[in-house]
Amino acid sequence: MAAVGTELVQPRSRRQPATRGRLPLRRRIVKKSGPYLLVLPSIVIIVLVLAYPVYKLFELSFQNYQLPQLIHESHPKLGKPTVNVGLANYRAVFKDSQFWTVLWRTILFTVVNVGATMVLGTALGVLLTRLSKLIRVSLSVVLILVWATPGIVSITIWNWLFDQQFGVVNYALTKLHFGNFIGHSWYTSSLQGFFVVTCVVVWSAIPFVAITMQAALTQVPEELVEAARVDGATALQIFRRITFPILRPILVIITSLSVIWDFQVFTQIYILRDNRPEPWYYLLSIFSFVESFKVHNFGLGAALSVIVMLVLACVSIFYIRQIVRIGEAQ
Amino acid sequence: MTAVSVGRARAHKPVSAGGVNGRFSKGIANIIGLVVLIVMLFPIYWAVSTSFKRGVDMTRVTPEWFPVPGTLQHYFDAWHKAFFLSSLRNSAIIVGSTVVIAIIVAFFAAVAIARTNFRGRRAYIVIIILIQMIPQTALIIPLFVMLSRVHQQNQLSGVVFTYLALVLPFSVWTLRGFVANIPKDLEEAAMIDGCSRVGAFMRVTFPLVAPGLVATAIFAFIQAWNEFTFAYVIIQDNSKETATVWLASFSTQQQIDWGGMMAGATMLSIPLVILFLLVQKHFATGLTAGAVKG
Amino acid sequence: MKARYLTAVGLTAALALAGCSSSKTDTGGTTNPSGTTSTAPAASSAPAAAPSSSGPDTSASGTLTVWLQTDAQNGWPTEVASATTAFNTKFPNVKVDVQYQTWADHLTKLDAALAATPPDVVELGNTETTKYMASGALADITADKGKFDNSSTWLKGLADSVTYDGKLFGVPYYAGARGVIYSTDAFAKAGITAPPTTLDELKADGEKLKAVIPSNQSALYWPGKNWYGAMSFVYGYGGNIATSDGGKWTANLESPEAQAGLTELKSLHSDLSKAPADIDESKQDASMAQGLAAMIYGNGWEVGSVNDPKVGNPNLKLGSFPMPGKDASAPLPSFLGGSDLVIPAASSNVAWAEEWINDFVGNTGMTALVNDAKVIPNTTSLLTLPAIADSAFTKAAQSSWFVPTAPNWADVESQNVLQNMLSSILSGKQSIADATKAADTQINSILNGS
Repeated sequence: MAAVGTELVQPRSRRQPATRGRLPLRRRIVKKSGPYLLVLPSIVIIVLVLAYPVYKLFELSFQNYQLPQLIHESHPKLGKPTVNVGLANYRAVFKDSQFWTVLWRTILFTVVNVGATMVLGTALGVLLTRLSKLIRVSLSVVLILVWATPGIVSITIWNWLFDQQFGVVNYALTKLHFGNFIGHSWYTSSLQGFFVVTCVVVWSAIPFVAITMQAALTQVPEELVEAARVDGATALQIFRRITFPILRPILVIITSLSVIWDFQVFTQIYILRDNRPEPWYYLLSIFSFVESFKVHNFGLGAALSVIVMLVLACVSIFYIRQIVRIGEAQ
Repeated sequence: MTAVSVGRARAHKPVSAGGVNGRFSKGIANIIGLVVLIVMLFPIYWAVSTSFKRGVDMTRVTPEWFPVPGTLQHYFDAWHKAFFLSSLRNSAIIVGSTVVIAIIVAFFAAVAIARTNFRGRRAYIVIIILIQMIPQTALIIPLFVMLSRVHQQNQLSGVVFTYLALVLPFSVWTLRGFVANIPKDLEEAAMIDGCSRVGAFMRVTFPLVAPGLVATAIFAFIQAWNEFTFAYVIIQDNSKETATVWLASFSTQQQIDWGGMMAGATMLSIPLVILFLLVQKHFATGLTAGAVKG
Repeated sequence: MKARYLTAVGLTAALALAGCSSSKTDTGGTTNPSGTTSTAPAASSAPAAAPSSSGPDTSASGTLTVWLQTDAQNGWPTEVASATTAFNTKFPNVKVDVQYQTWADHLTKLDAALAATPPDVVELGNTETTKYMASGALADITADKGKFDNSSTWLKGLADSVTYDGKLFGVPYYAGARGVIYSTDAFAKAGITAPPTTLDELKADGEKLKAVIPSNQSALYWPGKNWYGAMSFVYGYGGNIATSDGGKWTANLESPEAQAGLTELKSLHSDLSKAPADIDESKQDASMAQGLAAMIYGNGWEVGSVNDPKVGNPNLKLGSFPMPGKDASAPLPSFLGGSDLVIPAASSNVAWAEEWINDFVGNTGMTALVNDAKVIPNTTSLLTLPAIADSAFTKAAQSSWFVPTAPNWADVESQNVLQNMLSSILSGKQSIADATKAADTQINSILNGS
């Protein structure tokens, strides 16, 4: 593949030596190796830190590796040696009917949460561009505060807001005559329980989307919009024809990030259920964690993690293709 | 395709960015903005007001909306709780180093994939995306074992390395978006006018990407600041623990000192807010400047 | 494989970096009060048979790493310091490094440390020990049992939690027992002059209370998922959760005794409690502080948290008594919660660890702990200390039960089998017979699974 980008523009500057359109060797090497040098630091860091753990993760998934094996590995006189079991862990996962239920639930959860986050976040981003300065800055500060709140604090607050006996929500709903919510438990029905989880997830996720979309929206050219409006286009047409195509790359990126994050939601549910989520609140991440750490079956947990990665990759293959295509078009 | 009119960057305030309904009055937008502000702020308000409430008023059947009568006892407790200032310092060092290094490294990489086309670029992009799909909890034990083999366990630098690896993919990806959104033509125009490639980049593109850099830095900062599990497992000494781990020490097996924890969290967020307020000027003016003409 | 190659690259580079990094707190290093530095890392630990009653051993040097929970940090830091001082009079050149752990994720952190370099002393909740004992992670200190003060009178509930396969793997630390906490004002109003001594008397007292307390207050506030409390009824009526026969576990919740106990609980609950059936007991102290309960069945420390101005109501006057049993002969057995101190098998300082543990929870240390923090000690011999002798919880601790010491018991807990069973029984969703049968099936498969 030719290094198209670097050689596309050859400015006829007086500083260039006259060598019939071809740069001197040293210059060419610098130009060709430029990109590689630029990406090198990031590759070095990521490889240094993650190569071994990722390799180990894959290796573990093919082993019967529990607490005795964990100890044995660094203290050969203790515990029990590791046993390679091939695909046994994977087979155990796929045979487990709970796995399929949890998988399906996770996908559903991701779709709902990403959808809500993107719609509300984008709307908020649009709103941010139309506010007067004071309110915009205040709202930005609030959004950053929301995002900066430590998980343990924010999830606890939401837990209290929806508390069965002392929750503000139950109190307010009753006072506003939406029915008698005193003593209402939001977690008996998994639908309501996941509603609470979604509130927490979306609330924490909106700031990122809103602020990024606001930044992206400022890059839509003003003259085009004015011209289109002068020509009589409606707001919707302007949005569809002008705004949306410009926003599309950022939208794809943010959506893909949201999918990745929401698919792996763990802490919110874990803390909302007081560190003991019921099986019908299990998402894949919780299921895997319980296997790895609660049950100390690290091999099985690793197999589950690999499966989560693969599922996520498959589910977002559409996005990945888009992203790569976007990357190449620019 | 957009009509491109080549010109220099100019600061101007977009009256209605994005072209959404121009007839939408600013007043209505402001009102909606206020409502959204109150809704988003409410849980945080609840957290802060809890830090001022007396114990018996925290969980009441009839909620206490304003912390009156209140108490400052929780702030006293949190301030005097062991390792408060040291955890703040540790977090500042770890997160500060992570963000500075990550932004620089990510920026280089983002420029490379956004502006150039090199062999392996596609693979690099795919790897960046795939890495973010790895469930992080699955990596804790092998990562810890590896760090301890190179004597980086219980070191702030060990945590920094870990955070870098976790934050880089996302930062590269976001920055790539910001860099790519700035048309190459601007640089080319500058180069036609006599700048070198690097000069054109520094004079034209870099100022336009600055708000994106700031935004990404903020995002990276927050992710590193709030991280718990890796910081907890890697650091062994209480004197080296981060602020997030310090917050968790408010709970014992018997009870959780919610007032103290909320007070501690409020105190920890003050430097964050100050930092953001200092930085948001560049952030906001960069954004409102709109910059790209055409 | 590319991964392997990358690994090699990664590790090589990392190791190269390692040469440049200075390790600030390597566990083998030494600092000692007298200022002289010794050279050898922990290899100089004394063999297990060394007596501790001779003069200071200045040849021993190194670091002893101790992991305690935040309860010690918040509750009794002076006693921790005294233990270290006592230890240092014997081993002046050994640095004792106490690090406090949070309850969240502390087992994850322990697992990671076990895979690399573990600490020398670790505090574990008494329901957390079995899995570690069964996997060989902990040092077998059966031979040294005599070294520990009061080892012949350790509380059974705690001693059981550090014994596996007949061998000793840890030392009991402190315990918590449950009793009935009540509002003295409510009792006075209802004309109850003495605490009940049988369950029938309790029911009668409950009825008296119902006549005088506000309508939203429960006479006995019983959260449905309070399995620690519920199983006391099972054990109190002669049943048990599960028994083992040569390694094969059988759950016994459907036995007539267990069902009888649960029936009694159900009638108490429906008569006296307005608490929801699907919450657990973690917020019952807050509920009591808010005036929703005249009585709760809780831990000794819950008296403190109900009255704590930071989280509760300091103006509520409280008393306590052991939960009465079927008849006046003995209170209902209480679940013995608490913590143990264990030594990882991979630790290179087992002897020092044992010394420090004995300094901390031996006779002197334990007495100080009881007098200061009013915890229930690890030995029956100290139950008579004036600081706690009259406490209802001390009395309750004398008759206790503990969970089955099966390696997979933690899985039963993490899957909430008992909580869900109780929730359906007390809410009426399932009959006691059906619910216990289903729970037994689940427990059997978990305990006997791999």
